[in-house]
Amino acid sequence: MLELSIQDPHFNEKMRVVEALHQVIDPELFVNIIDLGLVYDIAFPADNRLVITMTLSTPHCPLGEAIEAGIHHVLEPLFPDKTIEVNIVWEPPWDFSMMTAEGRRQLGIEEDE
Amino acid sequence: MADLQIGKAPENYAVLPFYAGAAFFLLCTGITLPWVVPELHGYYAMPHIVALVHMFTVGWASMVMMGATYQLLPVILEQDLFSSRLSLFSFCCLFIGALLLITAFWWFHTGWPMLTGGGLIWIASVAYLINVAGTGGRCDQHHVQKCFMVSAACWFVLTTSLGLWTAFQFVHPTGKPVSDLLKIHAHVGVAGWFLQLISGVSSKLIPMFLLGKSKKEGLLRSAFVLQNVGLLFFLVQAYIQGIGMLTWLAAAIVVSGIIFQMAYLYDAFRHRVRKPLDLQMKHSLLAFAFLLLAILSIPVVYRFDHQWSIIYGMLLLMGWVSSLILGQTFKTLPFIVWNARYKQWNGKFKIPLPRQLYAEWALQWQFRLYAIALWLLFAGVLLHIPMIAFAGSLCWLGMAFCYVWNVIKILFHRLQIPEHVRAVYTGSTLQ
Repeated sequence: MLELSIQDPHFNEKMRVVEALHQVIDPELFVNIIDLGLVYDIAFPADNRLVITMTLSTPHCPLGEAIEAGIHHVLEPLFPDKTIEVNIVWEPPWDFSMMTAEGRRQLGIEEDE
Repeated sequence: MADLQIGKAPENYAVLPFYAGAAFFLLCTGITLPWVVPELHGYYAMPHIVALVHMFTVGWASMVMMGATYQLLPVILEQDLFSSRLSLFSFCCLFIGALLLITAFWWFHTGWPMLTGGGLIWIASVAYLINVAGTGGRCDQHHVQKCFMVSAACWFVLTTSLGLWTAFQFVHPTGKPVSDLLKIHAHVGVAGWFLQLISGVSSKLIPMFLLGKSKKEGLLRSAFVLQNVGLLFFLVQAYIQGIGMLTWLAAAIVVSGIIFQMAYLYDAFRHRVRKPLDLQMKHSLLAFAFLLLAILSIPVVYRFDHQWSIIYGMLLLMGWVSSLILGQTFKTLPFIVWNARYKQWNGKFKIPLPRQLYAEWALQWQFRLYAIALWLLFAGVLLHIPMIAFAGSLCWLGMAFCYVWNVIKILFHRLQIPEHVRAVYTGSTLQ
């Protein structure tokens, strides 16, 4: 799960990234990738890159390319001097417990599940 | 890096023609059914009935199942499709072959049209097997869904081989009676090709759509073994001794395999987190109810034959297989087209959702007309009242129009871009 710390020197930039990624929708579930819990990490390494580490709800999902394109589209105008990288990982595998309360509400999942 | 890890969807030409072809043949079933209704009270192997059955099995069901498989294989096997061109080649063979075979059956021309049609369908099935095995061969994981997909493709080739051999017997009778071959051909097609493909695909897709999971993989593995052992036993026994008492044992083994598979799906259904069911999923649930009814009707079919053979066939083809396809089409096709049209625009501006690519009202009417059509057709055939069955066939035609309308709407969906974005991208990659 994505965790941001106020102690992080890139906290403000990471908050801007999170806000922007709320606009990227998983077309399969119609919920943004942040509320789905698909984004595992946001990193600003020293070499001028912005690395998004994330997973997909289904391995080898054909809609993965659309999500990756969406990430580039929302982040490139915000960070024009950075090289955006999307790093897809399968560990830990995604499951419903990684969704935020808002994501669960949008999917119509009952809270006691 | 992501390029290495995200699956590439197959080319659209590898998948979309199958959906268009299947919609065409569904419409053909709707148009011809009213003509065939008066014959439903006679012998089931009459030319028009055999033509109609092949419209359902080859033109409609196999067509859409092949196309959907080409799209889903990469998701299920986590590997890119072996060859999109081979998929297109298999479509051309299947479509032309189905047209030739069905017209040959309708007017009962047992010469070259029947053999050429059967031959082309056989080539399509071999191309399909190569594509499935080629994709599966590059996949390191040996999960049960892969086994189902590969075994279904093998049974498909055997089904078309038996069908071609049966067609050959019409022209040059040499060996077993055609009626015996027809029964083996039909059962291998239903319990081998349809059942195993549906088992493999549904065990992956239905939990995915319901957001449900089952940890009882053992049920699926047992289902795979039982369905295959039962069918192999049936094949050997029916070929050597003909259909008799031992067939019951083979049927019982296959049915126990179906029960294991349904138990797996029920477990995933019970543990789903998304409680409300949409129309597409209701269609799918209805499909499995029809499969259960078909299984329960087997003893009655054996006892009374003619009339119940028609009911048995209707439960399987118009009930189980059709209901599943009618629902799952709108779970898969809008995503395929949406992905092709909008994937590069995601995040750039507000784009339509995949479910906005089809008309919800047409889907609702499709579901209603489908349910009414089947009730009327079953009642008409069982009660020997042709007018009721005829009314059912008209409802089926209406249902087919709703389906075709939505499929055309999705296939010909044009990219919707706001004016201000259009101004920015004029002359670039706008389609």
